[in-house]
Amino acid sequence: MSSQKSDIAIHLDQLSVGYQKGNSKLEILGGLNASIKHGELVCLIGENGVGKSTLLRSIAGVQKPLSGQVFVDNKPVNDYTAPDLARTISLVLTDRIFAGNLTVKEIVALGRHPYTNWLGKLEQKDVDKIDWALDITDIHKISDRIISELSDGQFQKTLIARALAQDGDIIILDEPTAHLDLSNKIIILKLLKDLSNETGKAILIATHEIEFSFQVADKIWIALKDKNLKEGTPEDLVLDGSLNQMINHNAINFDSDHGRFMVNYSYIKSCNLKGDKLAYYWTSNALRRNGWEVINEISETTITIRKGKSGYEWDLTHQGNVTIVYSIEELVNVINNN
Amino acid sequence: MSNKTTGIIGVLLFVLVILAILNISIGSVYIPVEDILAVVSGKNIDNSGWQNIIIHFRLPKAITAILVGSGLGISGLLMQTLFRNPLAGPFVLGISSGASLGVAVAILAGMTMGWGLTQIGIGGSWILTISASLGAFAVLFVVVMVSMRVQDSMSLLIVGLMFGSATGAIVTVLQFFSKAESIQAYLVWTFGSLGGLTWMELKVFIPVIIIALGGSFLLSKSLNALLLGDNYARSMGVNIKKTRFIIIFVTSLLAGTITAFCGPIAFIGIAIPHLTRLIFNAANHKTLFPMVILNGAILMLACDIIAQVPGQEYTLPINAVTSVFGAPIVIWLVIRRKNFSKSFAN
Repeated sequence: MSSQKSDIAIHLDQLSVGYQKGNSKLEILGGLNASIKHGELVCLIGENGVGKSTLLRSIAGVQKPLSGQVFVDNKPVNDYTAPDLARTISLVLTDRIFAGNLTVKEIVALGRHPYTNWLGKLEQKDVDKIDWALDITDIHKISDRIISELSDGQFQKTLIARALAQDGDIIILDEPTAHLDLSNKIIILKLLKDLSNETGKAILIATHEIEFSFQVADKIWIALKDKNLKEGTPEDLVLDGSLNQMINHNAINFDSDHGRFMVNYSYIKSCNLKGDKLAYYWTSNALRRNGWEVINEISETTITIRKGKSGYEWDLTHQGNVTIVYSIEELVNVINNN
Repeated sequence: MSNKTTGIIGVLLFVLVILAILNISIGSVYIPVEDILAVVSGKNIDNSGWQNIIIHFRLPKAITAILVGSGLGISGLLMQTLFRNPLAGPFVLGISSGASLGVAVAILAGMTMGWGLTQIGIGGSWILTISASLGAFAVLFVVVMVSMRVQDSMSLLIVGLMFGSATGAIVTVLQFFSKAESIQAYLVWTFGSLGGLTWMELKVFIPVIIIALGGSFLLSKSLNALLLGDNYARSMGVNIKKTRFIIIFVTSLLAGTITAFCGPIAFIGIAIPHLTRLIFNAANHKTLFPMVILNGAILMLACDIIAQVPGQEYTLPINAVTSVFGAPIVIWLVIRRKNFSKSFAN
């Protein structure tokens, strides 16, 4: 980072985004004030249709805001010329790509578009940047493959490499982990986290991976249904109850202890459970799924988990009768038959 | 450009030269290759009849075939990339329908007003060329106007198709009120013809096509960005509206001029970009452009050779030959390569 550059990469000032048709405005998110520093990774979360993509497009200068302003490196985004903005912000979108015959390297090379001459001729510095982007995303060995032959994870890395080759201070990604399996989700988020640390780039990700985003994000932006944007560190947002506010549906429950969302069952029976941490966790998981609430108070049904010779054993005490079972499957069968 | 690409282009160039010579030599009269080479290099040959045939008939026709094939191939490629649609071709914007309407008005209305066929002059007359150009450019004008108003390329595609249907309907109405011989004259025009251009007309045709082809080459950088979609292209600093305007203008210039001079030539424009992508596995426009130009020229020359039915007096309509012989090639390739759809999606 050069010294004259300010610390703030993106700043939203009373931003209102949405759609304008003639004289009527449809505001989707409004009165937004937030900022992202260089080297910071911010995850934008919120339910479907709450306006995440609209906000991203407005920040990227693709869509005009209804009112207020987006500052990119302290300059209003609409004051940038198209090539200047392209050298500052690069995007990773969910749009389908038309040409499956393009190779990984050709896609990444397209990132140099704002820097090359009218013919798109790659100079040495362009080639170096492309190689760096391929290296850092770990796709050098597949750089000659055509993109229709890639796995979803490799394809996503290719798009991120393209954004890196475009070499802006800011990368904006729209759901980069959608369609990926668990390990690829984590690999991609870890990659983005490392990039923000190592390169000082400001990274903004719209994502539904709330639990993972809590592990990687420096800050979370929550787009709320009341058109507001809540900004804070993940931990502060848990403690002040913002996450429960985001998802207000009786089928879902936010487990503040573990930073995760739970299916909210309506319990019909309750029992008391004792046991070591691991067995307790998974037994209560099975009990909840079967409509049993796990309580700390003394109950007419009590389950005690012991470590036996060949693994865990469950002592089920119900109205004075004790039954011993040797797996959760058996336990569930017994309690459901009572 | 990679060595492989340079090699492919070299081979294609070689094939093009061979076919061009074959194309000139074959016809109702066979002319030996040595004589062709002699005439083309500016020497006089003993048989002045042959010399006449080469200079005034076969050479202009071969040049026309090369330019028509390249021009239609490139305009098809431009449309397929702009609309990200494998069914797009040079005429999706309604250009050929516009030209047909112009010609229909000239022939059908002209005859009704009492002009004879000789006055209209079927077979490479300026009246037909001018009326086709007027029709094509009237449609172009409207399409460009619409393109500045609509946000996305897909709407433009629909508008173009609607234009095609509407102008086609007007032609039908004109035919309904016309005499049999004028309908026949119009039909002959729709068969397409490469042989109608004299050197006089080539003086207009050659520079227009070459300038338009050059213009399309300047677009290759933006077209590559467009492969990723409008949003990505915009995020890389491409001015979508300006690029779209230039693409439409270049396509219309190519397709409009070719249709005006040679009639509506089907198939080549849609097929050549597909053939090129399938055979050479290319997507980058910088390599696609020279390959499409060469492939288009080669296929057009080959079709013209077939149309002449070597050794016979008559020639088949070029429009029928391109489709009858071209379609099986494309079908075979699509089935054999199985990766056809991949070149349009990932």
